[in-house]
Amino acid sequence: MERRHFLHLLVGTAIASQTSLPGAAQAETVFGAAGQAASQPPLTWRNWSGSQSSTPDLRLAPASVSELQNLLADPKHATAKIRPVGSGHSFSPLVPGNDILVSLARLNGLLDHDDTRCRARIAAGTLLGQLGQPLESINQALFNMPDIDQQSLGGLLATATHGTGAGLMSLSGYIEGLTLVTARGEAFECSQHRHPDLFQAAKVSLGSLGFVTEVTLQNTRPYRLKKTTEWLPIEDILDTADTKAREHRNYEFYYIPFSGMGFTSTHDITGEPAAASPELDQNDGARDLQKARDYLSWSPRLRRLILGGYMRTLSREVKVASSWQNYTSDRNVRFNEMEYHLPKENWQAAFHEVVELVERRFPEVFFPFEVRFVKADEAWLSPFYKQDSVSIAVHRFFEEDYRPLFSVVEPVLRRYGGRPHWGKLNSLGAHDLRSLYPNWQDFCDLRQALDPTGRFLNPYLAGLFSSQKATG
Amino acid sequence: MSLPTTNRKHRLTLFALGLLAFASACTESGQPSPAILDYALSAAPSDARIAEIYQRSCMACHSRSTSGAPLTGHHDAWNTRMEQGMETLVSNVVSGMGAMPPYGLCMDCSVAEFQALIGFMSTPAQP
Repeated sequence: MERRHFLHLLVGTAIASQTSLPGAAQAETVFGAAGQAASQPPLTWRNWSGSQSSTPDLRLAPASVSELQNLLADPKHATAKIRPVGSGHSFSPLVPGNDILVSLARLNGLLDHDDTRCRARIAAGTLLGQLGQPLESINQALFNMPDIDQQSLGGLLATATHGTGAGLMSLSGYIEGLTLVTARGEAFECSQHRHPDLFQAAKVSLGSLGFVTEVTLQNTRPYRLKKTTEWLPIEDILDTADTKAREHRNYEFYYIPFSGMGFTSTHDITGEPAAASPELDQNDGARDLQKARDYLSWSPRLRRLILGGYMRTLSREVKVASSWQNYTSDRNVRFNEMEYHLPKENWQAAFHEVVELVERRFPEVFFPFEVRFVKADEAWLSPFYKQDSVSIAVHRFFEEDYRPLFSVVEPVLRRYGGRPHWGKLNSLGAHDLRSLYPNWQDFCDLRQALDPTGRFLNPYLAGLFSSQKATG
Repeated sequence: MSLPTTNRKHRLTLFALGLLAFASACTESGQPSPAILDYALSAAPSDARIAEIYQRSCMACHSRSTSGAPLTGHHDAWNTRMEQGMETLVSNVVSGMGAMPPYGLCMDCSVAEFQALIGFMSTPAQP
């Protein structure tokens, strides 16, 4: 807290010493315009950031798989478009539809487990944040977790949601079995040995093949993690990032634009007792960066001096806790996000280009860039399909227009061979994606066979999964 | 574009007030008591349907003091929100607010059910 006061004091002093505030004027205009945007008809569905919305005729949450099957078989819904919805944490338009939205939230919890193989069968409507304790009680834990835990299991698996760790896959990579309820209401149990093609397609399927109602996850024994957060000049971070990603179980870093500084976060398994040093609240941090942007964007040099100077005073933070208590944090400040997963040999060059572009052209940006490491997997539409990857993410505050920034950053990330995160904003269409995914046509054919009338396709997905084969 | 002097002064004043507000926020009282923390962890609505929704959609955040959400039964935290009126609170739930996803994670809830859930969570903790 005292350090935050220090930052406020530095920013305040810088302001008091100036006689003109063009940056502040610009910020006021941006917020003024955006702040008037919001009113929508009641009960319109929106995603968490507010970037997607629709007003469905029906919102349903079946209490059982058979109730879901009956819903799909009901003649009165035969022509309706049906989209599954989780927690609304995807930024991309996977969910919006005006007919029927179906949540599996009532199909939740641990269903059974195999202690010998350390696997658990879990209902797909379970929230990630409600999974850690039950798994620990059966002597199991997830191999990895992302940095928020508000998502439904079904939603995060359908989009190949991931944490960080060069030796760890996205969560979808740990699926050993799943049950898929298709457009006809049929239930398919899939694994490497039963319907193996459907299994690799359904692991990451954007909710376009049907409803994955439950999954069997390969887990590990419970473990305690020591999380260490450290603030460093970005040059030092970049010099050691690949090495540290190999040395630590989990490694990621954030770069704070216009500061020259970033922080690294590592997790390693430990036998040390649970403990925590004081932590900087990341939500407060985002608001402070926004203030610094508002008042200092007119002088990048001063902004860098003040932010960089402040960040050099921040202490290393250490937290030791059970794995499921030590991956995630609450995100109270909303944003929109673009994230691409790049071949690991390309990420540094791409990152340098993105930083240079943003700091030259977008002084209004204040959210950190995030860089994470993910191991390859085998799911047909996983962005990590047979490719060890490094993910680069950029964000915009939710009240601000993300399009100018994302439209400039995206070509850079694509040029370096990136595949977009399915749940995050991108502009790719079927033609682009076909060239990125060797099994794209196989997936399209399978989807067409399972759902010939496109019941599970909203306009976005219909655009992606055109049944036409590639020509030429 | 630079602001007229009066506006600049206004902005500086606002910023200074913001700093003061931040400083006062650091020392504000109204933190939930241990009894409220215990209550939030175990309280459940008496209506079975509302209890089922509360368990699957609300409890993960509103029973946990570290989530940033107002705790179930924490009168001080709810009082200022309730003053905005039930319609505003339901609208906030539908749109989502802060870390809370739209519909407060209850995709199938009606307005009446949102009202019942808010009513339950905002009722002061019972000893």
